Amino acid sequence: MMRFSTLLKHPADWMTGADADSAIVLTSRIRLARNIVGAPFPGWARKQERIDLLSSLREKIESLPNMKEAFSQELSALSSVQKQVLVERHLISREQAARGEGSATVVNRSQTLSVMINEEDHLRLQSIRSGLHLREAYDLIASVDMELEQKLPYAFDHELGYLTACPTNLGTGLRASAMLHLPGLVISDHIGQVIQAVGKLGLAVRGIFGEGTESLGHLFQISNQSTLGESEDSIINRLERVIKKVRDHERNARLKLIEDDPQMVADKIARAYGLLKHAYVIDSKEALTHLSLIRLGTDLKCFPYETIQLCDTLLMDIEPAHLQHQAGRSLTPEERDTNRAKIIRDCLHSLPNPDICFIN
Amino acid sequence: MWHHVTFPFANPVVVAKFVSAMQCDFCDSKATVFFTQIIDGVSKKTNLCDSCANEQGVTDLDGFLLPHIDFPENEPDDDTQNDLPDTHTSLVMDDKTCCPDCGFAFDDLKKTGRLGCSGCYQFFLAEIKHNLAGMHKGTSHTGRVPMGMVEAFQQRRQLDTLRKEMEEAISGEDYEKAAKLRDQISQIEEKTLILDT
Repeated sequence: MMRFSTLLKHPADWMTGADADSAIVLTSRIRLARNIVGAPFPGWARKQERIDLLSSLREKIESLPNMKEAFSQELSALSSVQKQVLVERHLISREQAARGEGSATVVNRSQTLSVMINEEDHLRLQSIRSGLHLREAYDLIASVDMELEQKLPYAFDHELGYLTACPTNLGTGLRASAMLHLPGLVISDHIGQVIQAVGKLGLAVRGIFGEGTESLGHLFQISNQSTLGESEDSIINRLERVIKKVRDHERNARLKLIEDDPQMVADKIARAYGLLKHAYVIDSKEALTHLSLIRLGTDLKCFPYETIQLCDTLLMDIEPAHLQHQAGRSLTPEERDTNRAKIIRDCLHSLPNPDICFIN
Repeated sequence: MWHHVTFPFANPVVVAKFVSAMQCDFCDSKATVFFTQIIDGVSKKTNLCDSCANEQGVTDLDGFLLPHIDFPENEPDDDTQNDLPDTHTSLVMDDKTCCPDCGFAFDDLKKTGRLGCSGCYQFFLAEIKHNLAGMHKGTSHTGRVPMGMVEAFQQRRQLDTLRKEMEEAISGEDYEKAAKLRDQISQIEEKTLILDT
């Protein structure tokens, strides 16, 4: 069984942008909600009922071939910082982090597959890939789902599909989403239009950090809202089509920016570089904003290509729980800002000066 | 007034309207309440008139939870029903109505947006269905079906079609055809029940 420290020491490939085309679409994620017939949903079950169901479910999840040497952890055995670290790594949800006894998470060795037991539903199967690979993520999750349905009596209704604690997940129980980096659309002020257009197609757009269009780090998540009345394939295909459209818009916005106002773009990237390399106190808002510009600059070939991975690792490492986990104790907000600045300085230490290649 | 009462653990079994000639199983009055109870996968249908239904506590949702209803064939001469509750809550859902499987109240759904167990969906079906259209693309599942349930899923779809045909036959007053369809339906229903258990 994998230990918590081992899990943290080796971030998954998808967390560090290892995929060649993750400049705009960072990650793709598929989640399935499943429940066991005859057992109350976790939010309504008594503690003992949750504990009993957990032990029987956990054993079946751990014995999956995909879960060989997995990380399997009961939530009650984790400190609040440890839980928060898992949230920041997208391995468990905020909702699950709030839970204690009778809830567990099982993550496979490569961290591409995680199963939350007794979150909002009895089972939440999740698969994440870097880049735009919703189909691949779904294929993995579907194979796990098919293995589990032979061992477990899923709650299913011929009319309503898979029955879930919340009616918004009925039917396929499938939520597909992708995380996108859209600085071009934000800087050129077109993000509002895109969000509106995507919303009209029945998909949801929200900021990863912060709220609405004011998303920090220019990071957005696009996901399906409807889960009933549509097949898994049609949900995934539609989402993928829309994401590709948004990706094209972002690509065009970036090209237009360096064509229309190259000085402005160069100034933003170079200032971000200077600031991050020399800051001693930096809050997360400032850090996210400037890291986003380094990421954009990398895509515009101002920095070596591996800088994308550097940025994505940093995005995770400078989050509050990661900082505290690294320090080995809880930190005040002031201490966090100091530690954050140091981690960024150390990480970008050998990053060369930006090569503003788009200005002749 | 017509009541279609279905035992909440079971898949809804719609009772046809052309059974109007049916008599109450307890007295000679016209039956207006058709109660399908499924215990251990065996379906038991009972037809009652309004007053016998009240006496048997069939219109009382809490009454469903009782381990038995006194059927005439069990205790043919027993007409004392004193141990049955005589509070008669309406079948119309009020906020305090609870799911018989898990005790979750309809009121809680309004508050939390979540249900208590998968059985709640059968019990609060009408109320939930009402809200689904605004939430989703459709109101009927078109995605994957668990492997072991594919056959049952197809049979249920077939049942839906047959029921529609039967209703058409009834409104066309073709009772012979309707009766044939009814027999076909109950045959499939029995098979479905075996698959479910």
